Amino acid sequence: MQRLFLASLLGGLAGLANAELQALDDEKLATVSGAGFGMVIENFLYDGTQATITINDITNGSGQNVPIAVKELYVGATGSNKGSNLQPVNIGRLSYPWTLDLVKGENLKTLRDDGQLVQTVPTNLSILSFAAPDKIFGAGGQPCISGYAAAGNNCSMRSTEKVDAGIRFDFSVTGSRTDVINMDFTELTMDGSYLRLWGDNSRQQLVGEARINLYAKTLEILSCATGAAGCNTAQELAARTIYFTNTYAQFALGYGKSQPLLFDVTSNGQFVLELPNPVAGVTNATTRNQIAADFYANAPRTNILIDNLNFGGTRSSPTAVPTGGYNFGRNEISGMSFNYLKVSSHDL
Amino acid sequence: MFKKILSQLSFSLLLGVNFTAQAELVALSDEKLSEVTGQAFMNMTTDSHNGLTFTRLNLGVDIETQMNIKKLELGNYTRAGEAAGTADISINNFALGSVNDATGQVNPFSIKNPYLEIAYSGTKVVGVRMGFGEAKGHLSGDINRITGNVPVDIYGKGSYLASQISCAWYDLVCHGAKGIVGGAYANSDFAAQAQLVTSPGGDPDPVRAQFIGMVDGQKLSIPSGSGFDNFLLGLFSSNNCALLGTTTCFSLANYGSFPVGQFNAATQQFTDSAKGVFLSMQTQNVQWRDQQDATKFVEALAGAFMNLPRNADGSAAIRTSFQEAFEGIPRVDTCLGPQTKGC
Repeated sequence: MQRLFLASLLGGLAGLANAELQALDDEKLATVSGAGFGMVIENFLYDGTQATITINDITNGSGQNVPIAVKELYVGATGSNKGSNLQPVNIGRLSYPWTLDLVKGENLKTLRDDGQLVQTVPTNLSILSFAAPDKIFGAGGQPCISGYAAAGNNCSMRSTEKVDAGIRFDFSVTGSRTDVINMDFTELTMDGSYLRLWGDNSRQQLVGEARINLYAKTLEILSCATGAAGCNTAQELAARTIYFTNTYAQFALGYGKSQPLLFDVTSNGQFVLELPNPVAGVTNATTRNQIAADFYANAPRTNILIDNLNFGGTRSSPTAVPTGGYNFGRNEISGMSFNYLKVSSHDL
Repeated sequence: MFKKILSQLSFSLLLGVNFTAQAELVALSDEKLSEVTGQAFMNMTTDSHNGLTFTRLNLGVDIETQMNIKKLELGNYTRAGEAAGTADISINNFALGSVNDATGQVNPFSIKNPYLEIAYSGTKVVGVRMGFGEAKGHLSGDINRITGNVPVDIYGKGSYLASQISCAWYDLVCHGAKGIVGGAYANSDFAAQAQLVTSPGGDPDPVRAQFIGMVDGQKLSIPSGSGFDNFLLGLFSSNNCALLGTTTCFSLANYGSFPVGQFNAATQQFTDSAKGVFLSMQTQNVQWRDQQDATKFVEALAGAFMNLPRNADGSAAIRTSFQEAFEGIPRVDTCLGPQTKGC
């Protein structure tokens, strides 16, 4: 079924002609390495500031519905002043587009933290890859966060190609109380992110690896509804704002060569996410050590860094570190890797 | 069922058309689709205490992991009375769980029912905590600083304790005590409670602590001993990180690994989990509800804070022997292959 779907995507076939489609066997599928799609959206602007989406069926401890209203969703060019001045932005550019590819594993590379390009997925397998604009190997890289070199200078998106984005959640947690979380990102980019999927013969299932990179110059979280009582003046708003400055998160899940990401849904509707032990089932100690050495050298790591975290206070300029409030300073989780992870959901 | 619905949905959404080969798949009608609800693996609950309101997102998930973090640092900011450049919580080569290189297997750290909770003063966020309903396994790291509540039970035989007691030649009381501890009480199980302290000083030090040990006035006890036994021991208490000539405060850097939960040293197996473990950040002292005993609260000091509570039976989440306290606890292996840490 997946093969039919992929073949349709690549061939652009549709409609009645589908009746003649034949499933590709694994051997033939392995020979497919299409050029894929590159996507660039010019003059993109999403303004949902007047729309509300309500999410139901998250319950409280008594099983009663806790409606979540999603509001003020926007994506636009940088300089939007928290969505109040929305202008269109180009998402990607022709030399560094978002891509959807079916490629051989040996042709897919990942930029390691030390700047080296490495292969993370198995050789001679066709990989379905959905990727954000690449990181740049070598010269010509852009600052991932302007004015903050520690985030790296190997992003491909220029400052004008980053976005401002925002979203607000209203949680009606009780009949008389609504908690508000209103988030505004500036200069957000996702360079180097990807999702890669392929079939694993030995496991008889679809497996993958994912990297989600988020770089933002600032993130501000307001905990009240602007205009409501106690949420009017600049002082009131500032006191109820959590400020992130120079923040990035690089989430890495899976290393295709020895630790693919497994995701399954059980017959009772629960999910299971697993990163298996890369040396599980390997009986030879020398081989285990070789696999472990490769895993630690090349598997992408998860890193989360907030150069400054401040509760309350005010910024002297839109991107300056705030003064006043409670300054939690620098916060960092770096070099995180899982030798094993299994997350199983269950009903509460 | 859920899986089937997912597959039907995804193909209908992605393709928008039915291929001949997909004849057995039937698109869901709106009516049927409206009957589909997510599984109740998450919910939101509220609470209030001491003028604050709380909202908590509970996640019904079980997590088994063996993981490593090269650098874990929370709250690196200037703090009165603390050294410049330090953080509220600073641990290098942090790890959960352990590995067995002889077999290549992992011994995972178990977490049940994690949650994320926000504390509000009116509409102002004053604290955030990430907690675990239950936690069990080895926690390892090169600990630089810890802010929080880290209770430790130290236990051991009198014979070992006596070997660590050092008396001045003229201190007859000390010599007498050493003789009794190493003689009549040689096979008795002694115990002491330890926590984050200053050293020298022996004062409680819950902020950016570097030492763990017995606070001033803390006494040894023999939990299974008679009233007389404990009366005798009650004559001696720790003072300025010393008791009967032996050191009672120890650098956190000496401890490579802590068992979190009840750990049977004889079988090297965990017998129960720790309840109420959390990491939090707050702008003021916040009393978070105790997961161990819902009638109680744990006061987290302003800043980043780690809570490893005592168990319901009064035992500490971390239990270590006198020998380990004196000599340090070797780190369990947390890396596959020849490395033991930093992988």
